[in-house]
Amino acid sequence: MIGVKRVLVGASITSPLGNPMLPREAEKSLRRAYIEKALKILQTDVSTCEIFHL
Amino acid sequence: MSDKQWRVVHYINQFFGQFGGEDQADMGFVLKREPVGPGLTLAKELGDDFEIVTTLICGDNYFARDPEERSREAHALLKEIDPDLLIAGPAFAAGRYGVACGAMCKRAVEEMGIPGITGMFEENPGVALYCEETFICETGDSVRDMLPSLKRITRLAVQLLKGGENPRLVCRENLPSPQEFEYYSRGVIRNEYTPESTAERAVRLLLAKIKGEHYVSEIVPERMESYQAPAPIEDLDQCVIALVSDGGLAPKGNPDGFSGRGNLVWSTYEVESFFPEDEADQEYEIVHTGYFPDQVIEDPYRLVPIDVLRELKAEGVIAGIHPAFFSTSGNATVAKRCAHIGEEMAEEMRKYEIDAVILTST
Amino acid sequence: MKLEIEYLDILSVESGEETQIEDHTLILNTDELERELLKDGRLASVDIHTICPGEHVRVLNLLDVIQPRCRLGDGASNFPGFVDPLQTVGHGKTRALRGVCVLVSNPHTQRKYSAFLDMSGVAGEMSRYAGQIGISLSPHPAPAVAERDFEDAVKIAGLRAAAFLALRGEGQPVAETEVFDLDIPFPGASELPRIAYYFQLYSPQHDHLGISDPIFYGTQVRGLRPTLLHPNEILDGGVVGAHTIRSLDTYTVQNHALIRELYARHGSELIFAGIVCGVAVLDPADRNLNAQMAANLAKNALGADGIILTKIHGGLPHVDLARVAEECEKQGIKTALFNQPLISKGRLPETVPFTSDMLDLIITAGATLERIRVPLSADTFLGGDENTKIYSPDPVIQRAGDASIEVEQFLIAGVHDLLGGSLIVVKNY
Repeated sequence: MIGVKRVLVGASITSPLGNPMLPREAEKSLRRAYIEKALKILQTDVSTCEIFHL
Repeated sequence: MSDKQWRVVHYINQFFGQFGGEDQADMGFVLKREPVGPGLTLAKELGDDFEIVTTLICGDNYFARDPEERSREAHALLKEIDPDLLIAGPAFAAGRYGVACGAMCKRAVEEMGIPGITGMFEENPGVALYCEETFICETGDSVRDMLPSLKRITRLAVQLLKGGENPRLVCRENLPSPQEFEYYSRGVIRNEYTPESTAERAVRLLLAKIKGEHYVSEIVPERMESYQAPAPIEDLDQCVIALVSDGGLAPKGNPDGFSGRGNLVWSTYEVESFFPEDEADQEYEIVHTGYFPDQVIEDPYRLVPIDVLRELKAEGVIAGIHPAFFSTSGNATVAKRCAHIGEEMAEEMRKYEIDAVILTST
Repeated sequence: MKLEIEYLDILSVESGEETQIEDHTLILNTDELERELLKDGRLASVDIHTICPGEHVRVLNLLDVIQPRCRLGDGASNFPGFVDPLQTVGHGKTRALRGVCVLVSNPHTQRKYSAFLDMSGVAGEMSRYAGQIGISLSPHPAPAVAERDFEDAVKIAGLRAAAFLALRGEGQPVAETEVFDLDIPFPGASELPRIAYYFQLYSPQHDHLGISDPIFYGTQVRGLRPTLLHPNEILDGGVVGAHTIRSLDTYTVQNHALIRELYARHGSELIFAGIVCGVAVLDPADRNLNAQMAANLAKNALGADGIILTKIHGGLPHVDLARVAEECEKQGIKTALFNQPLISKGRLPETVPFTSDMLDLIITAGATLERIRVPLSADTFLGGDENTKIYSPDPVIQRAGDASIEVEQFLIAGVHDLLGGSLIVVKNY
């Protein structure tokens, strides 16, 4: 967050792109949702530091 | 009273070495076995416990053309002399001279294991380049400040060579305070004993803040530099994505020597062998003491989402995944080094067709 | 609520038939103390040693340091929830022994690092505990006791010993009485600025085996939402240190420097408006909610004009603290937050792991990871032995018996104090 322009808030510190409480397939879907959001952000114009959420 | 005499080498440029001005700026090294020019005053200030056994004189242009190489050359010349201390300049505001003095002192510290002290005006480019490598005393901007500058250098020299532990430092180093000894901060952080407890200081400062009185924060946070964000991707299906992570994921055995805290290195690991598609047992470890690692060890995709990227590539959403992922461990590493790591990674990435990067952090 | 702490000064220690205190001497029967501690069936035995300042002793695997204290009066509960039944503490009279402390070690620890204490030499000179008489406890587990269960039992043994020793001071002359009397006045009652305190109690990133250490009236606080506590509850045993010290042991909580400082100035320079307690969390949504709740309590329940925030050791706790402070500033409460620079090379502003224009008053509470080289000055090892590993973040193995070790200062008990009690400021050199 210190000056980075495109930030997506992850799931948690110990599991940024996952959730151990979910069954495997559901967790993978969650991970996919995060990555799809990340790709969308990469296609977005930003001028200041923007913090996105899923 | 010790009868030890500290042996000093004094580095000065062609002007202070009394060879000439700009016209002599290309001269090479000349070694003299006694103090020269300001060295005479310096010797007097240093007193009987010190002896300037050698003066090394060099032209500012000659040195400035390649400071690294020139300081190496100087080191070779000084090898037999075995000094205890190197003093350079002072250079005041002279830029080439300042860089030469800084490089000489740095070489003394690194290769000869002795302290290096010089003096410069705050705007001398040598200060920013070398203040962390050696001791640079504050000086005025011209030779009018010669005597006070030599006194500052002397005071610091005496403390470094003859003084003991700094009693104010918790770690007990012989490291004098930059404010007290008038040198530029060397960018190190130290615990210092103080008569007022942290609690007392906190209450005092907060009361001042509330009352609108003057207060100085113990740390003044910086505003980050602003830069232009890279333009967004246009054709996602033509893009190759690279993955980076600072979660400390490494092959078992940590072959590249990541450190769990204050790590300074990074590496790339081939995606195909690190994350085989059939998910055969791979041996990973997490080298990072800042988070509980078990969830990532159980499923590294939670940190490096190769599984999802493979799906997206198969579906044609993205064109490809860069064949290596970039790994490091980011835990209490100083920001400047983190920035360098990023720059080094970017330089590596520029060799390939990588359109975007997703970086995951714990 | 009014709490009076009566201090007895202990100047020497001896062994004797029966544990008692007489003429500033603690007479200790170690078998008697052991029997008291073995009331907890999770312990099979406890090695007990008394050590004095200057002795060549290194105490290893330290889990806690506790000042001997007991609450006085019928039915008074000591360290409620840990040792004695639950009861709100912080009122009435409490006896404290000065000059002696309980040092409890876990000789069977599997944790990555534990604190240690030298009674002499370089590390001894730096620590405030090395100048006191130490009662060193090394408990051993009964069969089939699980690791975390045993850790809790070790912790409780230290607290139980602390209460046991203080109780022996019955009838002895009191050297000094401190009075902590605070009925927080409502806003408007005084012109003085109202200063509250945010006490970050805990952070989950170091939960050993994923289990949180109980530190609050005998319970763990992992999911704690911001709540209000009276300062006396913290001073009087309602809150204790976590299981691995990290510059915040029970002694530090009992002698909470910031609370004492706010008390000292209450009524003359400020109104001590009370305490909001909270915890650091991993989940960002939780963090935001906690930050807003804490600020809300400070503003609307405590009427704070200013707030000082302290933290648990670690990097993540900085971020939580900063979020709480930001929400406070948004509510018009002026903040001062504690920060531990965690690197030795760099400039101080680089050590702040958050950026916020609002947070302009940062107090350095020790560069706790600064290294110190400690030549061996011990010939006796308690709580472990000369082969006990001493943690280093570098890939080296060092052991308690090595001629010299290099350690991060937070591993030496009694050097740094995250609650403001150390006389240390961090500077750029």
